[in-house]
Amino acid sequence: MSAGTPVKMKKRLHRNVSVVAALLVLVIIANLCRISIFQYSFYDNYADSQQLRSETIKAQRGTIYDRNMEVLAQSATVWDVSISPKDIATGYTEGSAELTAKRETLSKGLAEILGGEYEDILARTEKTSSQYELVGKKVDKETADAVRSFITENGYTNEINLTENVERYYPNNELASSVIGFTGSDLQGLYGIESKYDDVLKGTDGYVVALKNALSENMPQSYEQRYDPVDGNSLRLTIDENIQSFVEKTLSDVVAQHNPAGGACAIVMDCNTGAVLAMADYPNYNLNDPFTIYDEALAQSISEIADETERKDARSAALSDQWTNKNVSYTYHPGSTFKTVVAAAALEEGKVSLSSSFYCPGYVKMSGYTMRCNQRSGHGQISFTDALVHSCNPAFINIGLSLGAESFYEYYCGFGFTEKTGIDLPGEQVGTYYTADMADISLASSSFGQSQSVTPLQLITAVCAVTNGGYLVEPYVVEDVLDADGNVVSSHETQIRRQVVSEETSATMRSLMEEVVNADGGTNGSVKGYRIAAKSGTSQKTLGAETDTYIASYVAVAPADDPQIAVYVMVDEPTSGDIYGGVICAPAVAAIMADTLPYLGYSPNYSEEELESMETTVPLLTGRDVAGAKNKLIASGITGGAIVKGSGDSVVRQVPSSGSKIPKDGKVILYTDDSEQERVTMPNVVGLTPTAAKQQLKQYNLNVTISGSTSSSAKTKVQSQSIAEGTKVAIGTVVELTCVSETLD
Amino acid sequence: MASETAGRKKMIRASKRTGEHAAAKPKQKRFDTAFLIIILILLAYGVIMVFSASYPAALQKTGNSLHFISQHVLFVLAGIAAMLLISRIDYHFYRRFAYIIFGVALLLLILVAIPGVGRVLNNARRWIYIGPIGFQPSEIMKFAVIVLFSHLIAHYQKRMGTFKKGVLPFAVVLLVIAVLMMLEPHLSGTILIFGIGCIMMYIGGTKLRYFLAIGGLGVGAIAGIIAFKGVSYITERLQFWLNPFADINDKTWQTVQSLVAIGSGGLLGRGIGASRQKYLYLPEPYNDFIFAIICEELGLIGALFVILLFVLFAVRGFSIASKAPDRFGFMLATGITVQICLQAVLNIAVVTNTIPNTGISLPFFSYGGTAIMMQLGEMGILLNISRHAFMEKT
Repeated sequence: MSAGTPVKMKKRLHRNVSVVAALLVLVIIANLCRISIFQYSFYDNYADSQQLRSETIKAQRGTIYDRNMEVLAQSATVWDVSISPKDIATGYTEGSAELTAKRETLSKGLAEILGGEYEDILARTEKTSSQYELVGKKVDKETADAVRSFITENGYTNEINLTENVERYYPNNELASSVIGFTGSDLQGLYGIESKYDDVLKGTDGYVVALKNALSENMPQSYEQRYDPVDGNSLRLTIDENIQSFVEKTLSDVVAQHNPAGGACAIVMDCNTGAVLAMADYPNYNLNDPFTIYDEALAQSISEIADETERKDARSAALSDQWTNKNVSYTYHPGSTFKTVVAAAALEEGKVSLSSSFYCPGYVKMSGYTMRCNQRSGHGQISFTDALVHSCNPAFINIGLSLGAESFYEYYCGFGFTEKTGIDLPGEQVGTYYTADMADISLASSSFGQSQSVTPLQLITAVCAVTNGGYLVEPYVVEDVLDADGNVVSSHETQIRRQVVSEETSATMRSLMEEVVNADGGTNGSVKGYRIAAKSGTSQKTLGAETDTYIASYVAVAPADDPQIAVYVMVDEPTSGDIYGGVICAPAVAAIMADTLPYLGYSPNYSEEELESMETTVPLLTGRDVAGAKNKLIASGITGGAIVKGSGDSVVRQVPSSGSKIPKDGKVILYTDDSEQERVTMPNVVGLTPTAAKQQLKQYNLNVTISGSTSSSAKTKVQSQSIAEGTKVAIGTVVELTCVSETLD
Repeated sequence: MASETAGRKKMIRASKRTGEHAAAKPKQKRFDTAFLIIILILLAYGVIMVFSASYPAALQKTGNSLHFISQHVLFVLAGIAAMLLISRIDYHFYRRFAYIIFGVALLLLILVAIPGVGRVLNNARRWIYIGPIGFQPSEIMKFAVIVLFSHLIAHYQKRMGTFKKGVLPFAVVLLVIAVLMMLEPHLSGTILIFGIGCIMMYIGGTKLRYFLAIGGLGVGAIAGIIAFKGVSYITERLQFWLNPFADINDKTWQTVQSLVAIGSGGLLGRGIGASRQKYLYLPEPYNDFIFAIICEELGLIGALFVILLFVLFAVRGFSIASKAPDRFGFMLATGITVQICLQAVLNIAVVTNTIPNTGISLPFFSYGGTAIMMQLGEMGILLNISRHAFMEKT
């Protein structure tokens, strides 16, 4: 045997090959170090991103309450129920009796629990390729629990699935829609309070970090880190659900009557704190379904647009318009309501006094323009008070000019028209205006509110300052922020920006504005038993347009001697009926006042005249003898007496029936036997003055009640009668007449 | 022969000291205990890691989390038994059957290429199954080539420097194997056998310049692939290697997940058993990519310990070779050690993306049934050579 191995071979192994091998090993070690030391953070992050599952635990979004803690917006957990036809069929042969039986049992059970169509669910169970068929959408906890126990009973763990979702729910649907706003698919606030206070309401989501394998299943390892969610805070608004309802009811009546092309809006506000008690906007929408266009005519016309892009654009424009809160986002020429501001400024500056008087020829010519008074023939010599009561433009042009551009602008700023009111709602706008260097013609047209533009909220805030002692307050809608347990986290404090005019000027303005309401014995804006101070406005939307379009508005405060509540109603471009603020909006404001003031605890204080025209309740007279019945009537304060029909001794029937309201001077018809009721044919009294109408109906032995304007002026007319012309009615029946005075402003 | 007698006397003395019945069994000499210990540590380390790495996949695939580890332990135990048994067989035995072993291996390699005999796994026909137990003929071929080359080198001696003896026979053998293995196809196995063969030839005395020709062959092979599959195939492959995160797809997924496992393990690792990548992110984490799981669980430290073990293995393996009494023993020990170490180097290089991805298992670690038995059998041969080393004091 050749002894051993040659040294050369060993050298090659130990020196050459080993050195190369060692180098290779060093390269590998270097690379290893590079990966696990220098690139550690990259790979560690990468590993976490694929291995860790972060599951969000949604924080509960806060509730929105009205001022009396009635729920306006709330989050609720709902469940989607789905089936997996693929899992249903797993382990069965297609067409086998067992599979059919299983599908039937499952479909039947689900149809019973969910109240769905059995055939529909059964058909869906047969879509074997699908793993997700939604059979129950947004079901409540009770239903979800029933589904859960159905799953457990039958072992349908994979076949039926429940997905939890949190939904925002608005129990009052349309109520205060433009104030509350709504949320998006992730419950993020999109409009209104929901948007403005999104950060407060949403809270902080929590999450669980867990390990998952490559199939996204949780790993057996107990690696789990949990971060608890912090629920959102709740809000207590200044809005009062009841007042809001009064306002919305009234506004929808006005809209129905006058078909405004540009919608309508209304505000009820605390004069002294700026708390918004109600804020309504038309068109409104259902907060639970904000993406439907609720103006049916508009929706119809949009659906008729052939071009898809155009249709989409029109749709989003309509939706945006529907969602926008006109009260804060819409700017318009305020018209005559602005005269309150000019009057207050002129009084404060001593440019006018109650003894001032002006001459109104019916127009003013300046720099080639002619500005007309609403009374074309002119008011002639007119006092300062009457200038406001009759809304005389030439008088106010004079007042404005005597105030001067600089002073005018100073007060314009002072009353907050050049800045946002600061309300805690999104989308607030500021209008356009002339500054201190404006020309006389601009100053003149601004003096009757036809050159500048303002938002409804700016206007009502300024009128509050005019009447509340001169203080410009910052309006607001959120009274308190509450934590999840209902504890108050923070409360709103009244923000007074500045005192614009003196208490004295303000007092004068209150009495002047009360005169406006009480002119001619009571205008459309008067409310029986309450002292109201107000001003109407009718402005041209665009000057010099081909067809004139108008915006009617009315702003009032009450009680006139110590204003607490301000009410504002604006109708944009009325298309049927009248156009004047004093005619369209004043009754609406009066109606809101009539509902709101007693609700807030202000008791009515009737004048003698009012007491005279008050209505009373007809007592129960049947069964009594005729004399007794007559005495009872007198005792009830009904002075009109009774008309007895029939030959019996005691009253068998009476018209009106007991409990009906009739005026104190009304008559009650008493029947003493079974003879036929005497009937008359209802005449037409619309267009007559209230007095003439009443007179005529009295001749028919009909009782009359009057609502609306009580003015004795010849311009007050019956607007509608509760019983149509030509109807056969029993004598003694109560006919309701609604009156309105034709005013110019 | 004088030195051999002296060695034997010394051996007897040594045996007496350890109380062995040297006289009764004069042929039974002590093998290299240190080498055995290194092997056992490697095996133990491997068993622990296979257990850790395999149970999520075992649970997922078979429902029994112990499925792979129980089989692995059985193969390891059988392998140790085989190793100990083979360590008693005189290694010269294989030289006598060098051509027969090669012939059988060649036959198996042809058989596996026949559809119906060879079983296809992962798009390659590499396995032959006898009952439930499968093996790769290429594993047997590795051993056959080592034995055959050891014999040829020992036989040609100084003639290894010539082209006719030192290159031609070897090249023919390697080319035949390469053709057969590329039929499967089995690129990594071919590379491995080429690597082992070339290193053995070089140590055996083949002139370095002839390897340039082999290098030329390699260039030719690449040119062939380009001609066959187009340039884009190569550039794509290159892109997958150089920047696997750029486009994570079926082909880069394994590399990406391996790097994530290694990188996220950092210096000290997530702790034994705490790998996350084994949860179905890294495909077959108990097999070719077990090193990545070691890195993830035990960090760079654990990885360096694996490398250290293989370095010690190489040092000890080459030392056994050097102490072999003859050229055949030297080449056989060298070939087997090179086989294990080359496979380990290539595996770790693949797992760390130092070289492009190709399927090579990590000896003693990877779950691999018959492969680990084969490796342990070879260790038995090395141990036997080490027994002779004591006799041949050089």
